[in-house]
Amino acid sequence: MVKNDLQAIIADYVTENQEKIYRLAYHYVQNQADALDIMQDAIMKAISKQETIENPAYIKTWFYRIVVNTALDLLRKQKKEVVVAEDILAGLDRGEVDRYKDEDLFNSLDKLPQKYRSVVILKYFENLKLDEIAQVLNENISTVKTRLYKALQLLRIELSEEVFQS
Amino acid sequence: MNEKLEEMKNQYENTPIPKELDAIVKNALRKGETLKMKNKKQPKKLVAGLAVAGVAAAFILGVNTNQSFAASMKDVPVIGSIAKVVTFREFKVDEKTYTADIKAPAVKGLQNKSLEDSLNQKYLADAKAQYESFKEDMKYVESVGGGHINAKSGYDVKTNNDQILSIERYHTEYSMVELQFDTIDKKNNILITLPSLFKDDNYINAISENIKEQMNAQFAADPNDISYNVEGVNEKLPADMQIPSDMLFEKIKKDQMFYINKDGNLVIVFDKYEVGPGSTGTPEFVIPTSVINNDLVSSAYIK
Repeated sequence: MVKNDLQAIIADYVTENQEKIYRLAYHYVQNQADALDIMQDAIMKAISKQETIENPAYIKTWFYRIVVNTALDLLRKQKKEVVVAEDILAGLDRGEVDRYKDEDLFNSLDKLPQKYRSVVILKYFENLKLDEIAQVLNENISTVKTRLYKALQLLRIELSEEVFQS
Repeated sequence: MNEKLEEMKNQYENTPIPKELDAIVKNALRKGETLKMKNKKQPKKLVAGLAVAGVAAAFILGVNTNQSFAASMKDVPVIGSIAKVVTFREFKVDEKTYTADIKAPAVKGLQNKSLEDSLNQKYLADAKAQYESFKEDMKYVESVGGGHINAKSGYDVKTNNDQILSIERYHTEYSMVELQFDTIDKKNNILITLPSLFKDDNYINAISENIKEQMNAQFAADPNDISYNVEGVNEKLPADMQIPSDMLFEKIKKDQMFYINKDGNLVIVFDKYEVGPGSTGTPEFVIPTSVINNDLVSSAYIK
C-alpha cells in the first residue's frame, strides 16, 4: 500500500472519529487538558509511525491501542499523584459503593480501577469484540474476559452468560 | 443490554467535547506529518541557506539592538570565543486564551559571515513559519468558538568555548517538543555533521550499542522511572505496556541529532517518541569517548 494512502486513511479515520477517541482518552485520565494532550500525542504517533499498521482494515484497534498506550504512559508519569488520589478516594468511599442511585452510576464507573474500566468502555460503549479488546490492551482473551466479569461484579451488573461470547 | 449499562453508555456518550478538539486534531495531523518527514529526511537546509546568503545584507537592517547583544560586546576577551548567540527577534501573542512566545536566535561574531548569515536566516525563517502556523491555528480555533492554544520556541546554548558552538532550538506546542541542533567549529568556520566526525559508518553501531546498554542500565536502576523501547526492557514491562518488537530501538540514524557538550563529549538526542514513551521526553545520551575513539577522525572536537 502506498504510504500517502495510508496517511489519508488515518487522517480520515481520526477526523471522523475524533469525539469517540476523545471520550476514550478522557475516561482514562478524567480531565480535559490531559485528554487533549493524549489526542495530540496519539495522532502524531499514529502518523509518524504509520508503517506499523499491518492492515488498514484494523485501523480502529490499532489506533485505540495507541490511545490506550499514550494514556497509560501519561498516567504512569503522574503515578505518584494518582496514588495519593486513590488513597483519599478509598478513605471517602467506605461502604458507599453498595448503594447506587441512577446519577451515581457513572461515578461508579469512573471509580473502577482503570483496568476494569477500560474493558467495560471498550466492550459496551465502543462495541469492540473481545478479541479486539485483547488486541487493544495487548492482553489475551481470557484475561479480558476475567476483567470484564470482575468489572460487572464490581458494578453489580448481572448479565447472562452470552455476554462472554465475543 | 442491561439497564445500568445502557444508562452508563448514555452518560459516556454525553462526555463534554471541548471546543478546541477539532483544532488540536487538525494540528496534530499536520505535525505528525512534519515529524515523519523530519525523521526520514537528510538535512539539506544549510545548503539551501548558503545559496541565499547573498540577500543577507537586507536582513541585517532588521537587527534589533537588545541588551544581551550590547552586553555581549563588552566582554569579548579572546578572539576564538567572540561568537555569541543572542535573541534576534521575538514573536509574541498574548490574547485571551492564545499565547505564543517564539524567539529566533542569531549567531554573532563568526569569522565566516556566510555561514553565520545562512544559520541566522534559517533561524529567522523557522521562527516566522512557527509564528504564521500559530496564527493560522488561532484563526481556526476562533472560528469554531475559541479554546486554549499555546506555543513556545526558543534556544539554548549547549556549548560555547574556543572551538565549539553548539546550539539547541526547541519548539513546543501542547505537549509536543521538536528539537534542532547546530554545532559549529569556530576555528575552522564549518558546520559539523555527525558523519563528518567519523572515519566511516561504524560509529552508527558503536553508538547504538552503547545507547542500548545505557537504556537497560537506567531501567535496571529504577524500573519505575524510565522505560525505553529497547530489547531487554520491553520484555520486563507489564503486558499492556509492551510494544511490538519491530518498533524497538535498533540504531541511530546516520544524521541523528547531536551536540558536543562542555566536557567535549558527544551527546546523542532523540525526538519525543523516537525511542520511548512521551514521558521520557527528548532523551539524551552522553556517549563515553572510549566507545568511539577508534572511529573518530580526530580528537579535536570530542575528547
